[in-house]
Amino acid sequence: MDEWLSSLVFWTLAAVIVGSALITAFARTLVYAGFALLFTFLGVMGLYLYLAADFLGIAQLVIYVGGILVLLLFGVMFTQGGGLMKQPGRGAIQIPSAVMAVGMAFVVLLHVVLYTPWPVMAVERAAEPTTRTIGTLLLTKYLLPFEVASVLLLMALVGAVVLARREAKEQK
Amino acid sequence: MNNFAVPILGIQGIMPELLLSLAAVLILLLEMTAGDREGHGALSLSVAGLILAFIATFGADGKQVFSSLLVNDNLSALLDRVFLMAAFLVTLVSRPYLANYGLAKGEFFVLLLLATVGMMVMGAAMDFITMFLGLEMLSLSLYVLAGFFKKDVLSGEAAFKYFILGAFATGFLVFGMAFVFGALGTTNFAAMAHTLSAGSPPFPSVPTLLFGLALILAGLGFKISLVPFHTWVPDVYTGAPTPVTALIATGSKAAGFAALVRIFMITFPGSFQFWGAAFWWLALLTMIVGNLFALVQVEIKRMFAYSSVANGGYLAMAFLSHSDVGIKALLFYLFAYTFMTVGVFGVVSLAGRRERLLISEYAGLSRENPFLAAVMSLFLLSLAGMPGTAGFFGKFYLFAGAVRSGYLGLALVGILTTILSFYYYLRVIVYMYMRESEMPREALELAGSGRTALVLAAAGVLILGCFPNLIWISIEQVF
Amino acid sequence: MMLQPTLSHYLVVSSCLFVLGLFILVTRRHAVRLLMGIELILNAANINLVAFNHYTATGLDGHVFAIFVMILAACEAAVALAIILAIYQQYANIDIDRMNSMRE
Repeated sequence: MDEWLSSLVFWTLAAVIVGSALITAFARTLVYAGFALLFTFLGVMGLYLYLAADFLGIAQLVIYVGGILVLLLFGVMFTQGGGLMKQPGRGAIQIPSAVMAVGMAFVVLLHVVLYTPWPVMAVERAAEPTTRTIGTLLLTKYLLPFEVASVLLLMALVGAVVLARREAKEQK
Repeated sequence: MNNFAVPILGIQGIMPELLLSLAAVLILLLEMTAGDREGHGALSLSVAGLILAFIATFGADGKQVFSSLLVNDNLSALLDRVFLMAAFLVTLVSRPYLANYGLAKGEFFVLLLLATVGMMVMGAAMDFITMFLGLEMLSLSLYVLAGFFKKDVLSGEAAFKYFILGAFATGFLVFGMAFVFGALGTTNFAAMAHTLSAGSPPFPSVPTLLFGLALILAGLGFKISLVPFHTWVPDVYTGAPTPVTALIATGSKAAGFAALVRIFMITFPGSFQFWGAAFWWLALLTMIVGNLFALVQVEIKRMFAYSSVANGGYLAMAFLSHSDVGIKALLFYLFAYTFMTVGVFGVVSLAGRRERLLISEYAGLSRENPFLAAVMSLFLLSLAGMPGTAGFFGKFYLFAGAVRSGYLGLALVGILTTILSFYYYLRVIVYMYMRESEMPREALELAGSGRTALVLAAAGVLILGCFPNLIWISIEQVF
Repeated sequence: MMLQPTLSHYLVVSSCLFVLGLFILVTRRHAVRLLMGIELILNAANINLVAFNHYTATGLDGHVFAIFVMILAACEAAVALAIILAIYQQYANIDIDRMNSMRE
């Protein structure tokens, strides 16, 4: 019974993720696509929790739902109306041929995923809180990437300000 | 895991990166406090940082630092020097170029320095995580730099196109890295090589590994613009501010090749039978497509964009040589290529108050500005592979390496396409010296730093061309 | 039991996300939609990392990698929005028909 319930949770999450991602890809209006993406992000968060990645689950909620999705919706609102922001110079590829090509990629991917003898560990990992271990890893083994990431964030900050601010002269 | 072991730091191992980041932060502070309008302070701080970092690269001791996430060997030191030289020359060219448009702001140099830090992290990375972060630092700053001219439509579109395709390439790269992680259970290159050489489980999953490597190759192939991942090149190279184009063509491309060397030639040499064929096709297509499209261009930056694609094809040939020969040839050509490519884009940046965009606009440059025409000719001859210039030895080592490894056909294609390239390189020289300009234009006064950069690049081309041993000595020490 | 999720099930879910991201890349032309496709692909990679970490690896290296991917996604979104804003400012003043000023 317990097993049955946990399977049900997984399949629900999978259905939510794939279904909402399909809407994101195919929806006619951007607003629908954006809101569908909300459910994709939430579903992925559920998967993380299901995989005993509690810290990542919360990070997914804070960063993706709280940050990136809001930015994307800002983007949707900015670009409402007219044919603005179409990426220039790319012809729209016909949907059927795109579906065919992408479908082939999907078949290859499925083949790799399903027929690889993954070196799965015999014993299922016990679900234990990860936050402490991740914190320790970030400040010991992964100290350097942690610092590089801080410089990366600084860089993104400077870069975004450079591009987005209005020039002082214009404001006068 | 509860004991909090202080890691072995090895600060000296990241000295160059540290110095550059420090310079970047200082420029930001200077900008905030002193209001450095003309960018003089930013320029001097960048130059100082780059020179100090260059000196610091001589402290390489071959040790792995920060829990084996970064290696400080001779290879990374040499790559660092390529990146730093590219950044140094580009910085010198940028100042007068930006001042001409009234945009010599400190942020430009900050982003340029941080892009260089990203390249150096990539070149020294021994782990997917560090490599990935280095790549992103490089890419994100280049997206912003490409769009630095906010008033210019082309610049904005270049930034946008570069960003979208680059971000997708990053997605491919991470997805591929995840597969390799799944197959081998680690993100560390040394640990991967160890698992592979042990040949024991937990590694039976060759197809997955190859699939992951293929995705990584696609992601990095975008950075180094191998055909068919080159579609962004002409628009981005044309639209971005010209000094930025120079950095994308040299430093960024060198960093991409560095990452490929670390992954394919050093970590997975045993799977050569699988990925070798991929590199063969990529090199072939890149050389042919790059050179053919360069032939028909009328805009100069577009022509050099395709020429840069073609050069990526020559460099990709190095992956087919036996690993140490290939890496050495690659390093030599990276040095040569950096000098001549920054050189040509430097001349394009500084050739007039309003940029000369068409090749035909270079008519009569020899009369208006003999110095520029002379150095431009030198760089073009070197790109064409004329003996006595850096390009000749660079191509010679690459082609010789391919022949020695039994890829005669590919080397022949390389030689034939090189001959083809004479046409479009020499055409510019013909315009500069043998055609009269229809409307003489106001010359851009060559400020000190721009002239210095061009002189240095020209000197580099000549020195590498006449005394290749000078640099070959340090390249020999890589292994 | 067939329905009990295994590693392959997670990988199939992530493959779906990756392929849908790919689909957006080849068919869609709107900037924000393309950004959404990028987010789908990055999420797919993260699911893979976490699932592989759970089933095949010891330690939490995959989780740490996934955190850095999230940081990157946030930086990318910020820079992307800035680029979109910069272009928007241009076209607020300039004729929209000139958007396709670049040749293929």
